[in-house]
Amino acid sequence: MLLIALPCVVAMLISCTDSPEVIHDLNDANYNLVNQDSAAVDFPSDFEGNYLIIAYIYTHCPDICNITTAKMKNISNQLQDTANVQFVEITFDPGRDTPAVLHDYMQTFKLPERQFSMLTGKSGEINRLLSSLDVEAEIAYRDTNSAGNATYTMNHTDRIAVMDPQGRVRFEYPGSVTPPDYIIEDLNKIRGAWYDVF
Amino acid sequence: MMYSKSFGILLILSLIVSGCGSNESPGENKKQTLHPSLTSNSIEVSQSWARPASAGTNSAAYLHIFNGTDRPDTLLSVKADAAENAAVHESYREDGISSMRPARRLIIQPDSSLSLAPGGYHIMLMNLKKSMAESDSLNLQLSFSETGNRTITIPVKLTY
Repeated sequence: MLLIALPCVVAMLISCTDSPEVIHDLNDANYNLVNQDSAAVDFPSDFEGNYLIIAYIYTHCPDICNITTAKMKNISNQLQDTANVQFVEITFDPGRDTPAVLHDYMQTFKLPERQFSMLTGKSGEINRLLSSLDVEAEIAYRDTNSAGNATYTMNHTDRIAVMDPQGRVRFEYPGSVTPPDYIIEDLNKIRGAWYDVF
Repeated sequence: MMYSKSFGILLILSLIVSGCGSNESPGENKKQTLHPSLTSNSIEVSQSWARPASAGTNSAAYLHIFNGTDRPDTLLSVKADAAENAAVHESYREDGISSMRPARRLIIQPDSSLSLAPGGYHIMLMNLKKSMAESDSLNLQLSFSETGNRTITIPVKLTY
């Protein structure tokens, strides 16, 4: 009798959990990027074991990306337990967003280095990563500055994502308009959940 | 809970989208209910600030304009001493993609206000001549069709 009942109970328990689906799985993928200090980063494996809050931005963005970065800072400020949580911002404008520019951006927004990483890389590698995450970006508005250099703004995906320690994206949100509380609640939902070890 | 949150986000987005699709954008031409003694018979600018940014990049300035006169006024153009170019732009979302477009003529009706706020209308500061740090300030010149030019000094603030 027990042999029959036990599998049923396990099956019921599994069916009762609301484990969020895997949206993108980067568990077996690797992308060669660099951070704001020009240190090589293998993404996402170098963050293995951490939950990642990920935003996609470019530093010349005048409005939306800065709102998203502010949201990221708010999440880090409001998160009571920051153990095993890292914040990653990935640029979709690697041509202009060099490590030095990203370093300046971090300082401008007072993003703590122990929690935040700003990632850039070769254009092809960034495009490969963004494509696997379904993130779009394209040049929209071109101008020329006084030095004669071309400048531009971009149309882009507005998103914050939560990745689990196995490199799987579990939640995605409209980055600039989602209240930080929502993201924190979802993060805490999967942190330490028994189903999340598989 | 996931469904209720998704609904909440969808509601926020639908409000933004509906605002973009109508002739009036969020914050624009909101009728004020001020006591007559509080009306100024002039254009009043308040809640102004700009985000910090590095030299050579872009930033945005935000503010609230109240038309206390008895006739419509139009914000025609803007200039900023800290940027090579400045213009009023509008951020909008479509199918999850964030984009910007130059703002159409911004008419402020009498006794009404116009808000330039993050995620909507903003003064885009292009190609900053120097870095703008928290506690700095910059000068903005706003040109109105009826009341002429108005120069204001606004603070650079790091808000989250």
